[in-house]
Amino acid sequence: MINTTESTSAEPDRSRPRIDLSLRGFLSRWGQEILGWDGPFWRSLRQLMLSPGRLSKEQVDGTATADRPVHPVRLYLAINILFFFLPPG
Amino acid sequence: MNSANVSVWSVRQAGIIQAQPALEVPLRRAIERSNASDEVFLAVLDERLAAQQGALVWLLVPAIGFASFAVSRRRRCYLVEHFVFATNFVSFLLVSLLALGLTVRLVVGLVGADTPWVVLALVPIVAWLVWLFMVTYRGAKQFHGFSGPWLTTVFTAWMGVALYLGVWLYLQALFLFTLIGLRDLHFPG
Repeated sequence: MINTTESTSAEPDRSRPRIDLSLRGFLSRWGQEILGWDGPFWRSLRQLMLSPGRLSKEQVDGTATADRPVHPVRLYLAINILFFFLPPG
Repeated sequence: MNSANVSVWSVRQAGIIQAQPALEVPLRRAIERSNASDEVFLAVLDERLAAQQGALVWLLVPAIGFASFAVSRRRRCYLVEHFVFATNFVSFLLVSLLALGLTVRLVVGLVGADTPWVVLALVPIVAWLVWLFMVTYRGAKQFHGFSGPWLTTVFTAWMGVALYLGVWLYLQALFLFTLIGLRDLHFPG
């Protein structure tokens, strides 16, 4: 017999932490990560400028669990956007 | 058309056609197909190359990643690990080149381009080269696990060669892809 109660249930899973899907929540989160000086993006950028080798080691080995650095592709894309707005030549 | 007369963007940057005469063949064919004079076609090519120079920067990532993997796969056996390092290294290059470009422009703007003091613009360039060496040296020690000054310096020099070859690959690909993009361009008359 097929149990249809799970597949048709529209009830959200209350045990999981909820993500703020409002525009205000999205902008707040975005601002915290990008504009906050101690956010992961700026922390990773500072480390990138001084020792990209250590940053790569932390990203690969997962040694920095508390201050997890930004994913390298994400950092690369963000820097490309920066490059787009501020061309060096 | 003599290769010495070509003045497109990539040639000014790295003398790519002079060092790679085979690239003259597709360039000549493209000019003949477009029905335009050399000057007009090269001006259009120059403009397109300058506009698209950022599109293929990602080619540096596999170049540096494979170079890193080739010399230190015993210490870090997964290719992806080296690609992570290469991605960060290219990100570093982009940001440091951005800082270098802005600093040189600032120095030239302050002293004036026509004065002998314009040689001061060499200071940030030398500082950037030292910075690049230090970062690569540290990376060799911290990420790749090289120990000892000689081994680390040899690895740093190898990364410099890989970077040069990567830029070379990038410029060739940029030139060819831009030329292919101009294939259907026809000039009136």
